[in-house]
Amino acid sequence: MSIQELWLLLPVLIISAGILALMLQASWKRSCYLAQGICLVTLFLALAALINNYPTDLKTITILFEYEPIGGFFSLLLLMVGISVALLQGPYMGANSKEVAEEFYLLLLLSCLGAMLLVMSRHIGSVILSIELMSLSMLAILAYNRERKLALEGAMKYLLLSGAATSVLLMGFALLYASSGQMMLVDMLQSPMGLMAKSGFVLVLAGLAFKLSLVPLHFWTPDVYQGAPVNSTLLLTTLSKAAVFALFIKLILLVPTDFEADMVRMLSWMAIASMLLGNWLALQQQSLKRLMAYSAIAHMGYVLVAGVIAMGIDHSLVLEGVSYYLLAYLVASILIFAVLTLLSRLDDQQDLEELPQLQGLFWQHPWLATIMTIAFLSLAGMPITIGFIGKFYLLTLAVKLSAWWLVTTMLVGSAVGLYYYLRVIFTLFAPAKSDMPQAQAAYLSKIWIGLIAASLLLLGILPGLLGDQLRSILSIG
Amino acid sequence: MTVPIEHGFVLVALLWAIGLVGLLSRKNTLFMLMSMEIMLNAGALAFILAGSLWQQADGQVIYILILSIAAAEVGLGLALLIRLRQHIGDLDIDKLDEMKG
Repeated sequence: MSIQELWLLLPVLIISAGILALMLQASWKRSCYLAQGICLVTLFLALAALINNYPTDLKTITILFEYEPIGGFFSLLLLMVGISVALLQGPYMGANSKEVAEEFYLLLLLSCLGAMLLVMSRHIGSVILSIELMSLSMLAILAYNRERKLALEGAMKYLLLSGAATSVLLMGFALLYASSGQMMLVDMLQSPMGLMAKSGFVLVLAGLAFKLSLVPLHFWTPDVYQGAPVNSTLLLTTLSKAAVFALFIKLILLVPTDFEADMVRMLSWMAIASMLLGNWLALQQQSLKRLMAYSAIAHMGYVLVAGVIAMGIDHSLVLEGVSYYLLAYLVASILIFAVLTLLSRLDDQQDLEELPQLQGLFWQHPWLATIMTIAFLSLAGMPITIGFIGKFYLLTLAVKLSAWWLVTTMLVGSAVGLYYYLRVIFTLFAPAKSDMPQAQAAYLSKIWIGLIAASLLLLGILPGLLGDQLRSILSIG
Repeated sequence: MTVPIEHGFVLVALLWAIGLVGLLSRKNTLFMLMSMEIMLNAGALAFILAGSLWQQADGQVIYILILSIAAAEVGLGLALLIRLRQHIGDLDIDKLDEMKG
């Protein structure tokens, strides 16, 4: 390993150093402010390091990792999520919580590390290690409040089912390895594929589809989302989805041509089922967390459409579309969960999540309600928000490929989605009830949320601002 | 006498199916964790088989990685198990089923 390679690994190394520092700090002097500070400094340093030597072309780092523009963009998204969660955890937990504070930041950094490594992986070993590093530390975060029974239920379900999904993933990789004798993802999929390799590839995609909660493998999503503390749900719905999708799309783009038609058929059905079922089941939800869980299923279906298209036409435009759509989804999710987090407390038995509890939020907390409204409009794909541009990209691509089934389902799904998103927005503006929850006074987090909300609108109004950049960022133009 | 590689993969499939049936039919969480472990080990065994097929040590390296991951997973699982026991005084997973919809 040369100095050059170490230099490219700098963001990851900074996060690892931050993890060590946090461990030492927790054993030396416990202080939640110090822990949050170390965590934030680490994440911002990693962000600076990543921006400073942003990858312009594909560089390999040993046989395990690679450093390329798309991975770099996903890493930016992951760091943005990590910073949001770290900022929100302070007010959510409060200064004198019953739970210990430092370990949350430790686990957060560990899962960020896993996610960033996953985006960079190019070898079976690194994929397995990083995906498990990410999901296991996330599992601990999901059950962070030890008093909540629902959190325990959700974490237990996630543990058992994700263990099963991991075993499917392992079997798939083992079959691919057995038929090709290669451990690198690229080499593995370039050798001729027999029946064994094909079934192995399907198993791998199934294992990843579980983490993305695509339809036949989505059953765990609503329960885990509802049970977990709301800040942990934010991490689950953004970090793991973005990182796993980066790997998913990398694998899809490597599919050999003779296997493409079958894969297109399989993934199209998964996408259609996810969009329809996710939107349909979200209609009846009273709990905002469950609603977001089903909407996450639907949105993963939309992103999968891009994956399907990627196999059909040239990759560069599709990657741009996927990046834009995921950015829109992440930004909106961060905003919605951030508002819920600011209104809830970790020590309570329940978070603020039922729709009636949010009735009339606008009259009590106008800014929070406005931000939530913008975020929901963006998820629904309304103009002047970034979500509209994301949907526009995907629809244009799907029309270009004449994938009419996908286009129809996307439109139907969006129409149904609009209904339940608007229901939430109407609730926010309904006449207020007397007992409204008090928001935490956390100026730093509020400034950060405000920045993200502003960028959501700015990129929605001036999509060219990022659109042109994005092409050069992903260096495909 | 060498064992044909197909027999090995049949064993893997059997182990995996045993784990899956256990995971689905058991009510005791401890046994569910054990079933999950069997499933993970089936995957690990498949890597050893594939490694021996190609005469490479890589399969065994991955096996060791999987072993450590499975240990971490079970460690977390047992921690949750203790919480479960303190909440409901039982390891029956059905008593935990509250969320619907």
